[in-house]
Amino acid sequence: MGRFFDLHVNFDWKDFSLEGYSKVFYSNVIAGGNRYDPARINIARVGNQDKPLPQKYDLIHFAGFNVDSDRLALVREKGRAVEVCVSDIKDALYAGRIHQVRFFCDALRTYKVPFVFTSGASAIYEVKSPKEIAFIGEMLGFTQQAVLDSMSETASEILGDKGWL
Amino acid sequence: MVIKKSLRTRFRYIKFRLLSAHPFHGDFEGELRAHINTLLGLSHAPSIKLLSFDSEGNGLLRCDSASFTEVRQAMLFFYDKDYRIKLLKSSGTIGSLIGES
Repeated sequence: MGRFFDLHVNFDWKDFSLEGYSKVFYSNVIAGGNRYDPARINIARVGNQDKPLPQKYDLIHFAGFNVDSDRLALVREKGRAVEVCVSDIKDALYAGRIHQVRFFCDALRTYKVPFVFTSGASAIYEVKSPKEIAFIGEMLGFTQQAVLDSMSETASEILGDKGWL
Repeated sequence: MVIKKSLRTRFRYIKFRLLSAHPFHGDFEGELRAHINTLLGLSHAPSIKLLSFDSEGNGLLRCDSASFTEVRQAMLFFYDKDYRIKLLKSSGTIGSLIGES
């Protein structure tokens, strides 16, 4: 512990070390026409539950926090991690769907699926420090330590698989 | 009538900084209170009080200790494209927060 990574930011963030991150990644979202980009973190965005999961991705993002147990089991079998994005949590909170996020997070714990918290920030005023994200994770039933570990150890494993560490 | 110390309302104090692209105009306390009440619901509205808020965006907020966790989480969602709140420190005594840079 001690090195934190934000695997999903949507802008060129240079002074990330001020917030306590070792590195942040401008990620590639695989949805629609986008393809796997070996030079970036690839996040497969899955919306419709009828569609199959993409063949290759680094993180999987369930849009709208909709997921079924079969899919979670499949993600765990593949040894992949699920993205929990803070900006999406904010959207769900304002839309009155925070119960859906809680249900989703409960399922992650029940099925022991690896997860990674990301900020999903599009501007400097949307970024969150690791500790602030841990507070938000606490709201969803995680321990602060589990959230910090997701941004440290689980993220390190993903980066290690890509040969970036 | 003297209330026993153990029965008095316990408070937590949150030191924060408002990071903003432009100076904040308007009723910051009112907006923050409305935001927190929107997220937590009026039936669970916490007792909060903005003790100080200077022109540089440094502020000190008091809340009852029972709703401290919820208030802290709600404050973290008080952000938009051009402003956000950065939580600096929290304490059970105001003295430990005043005087710190």
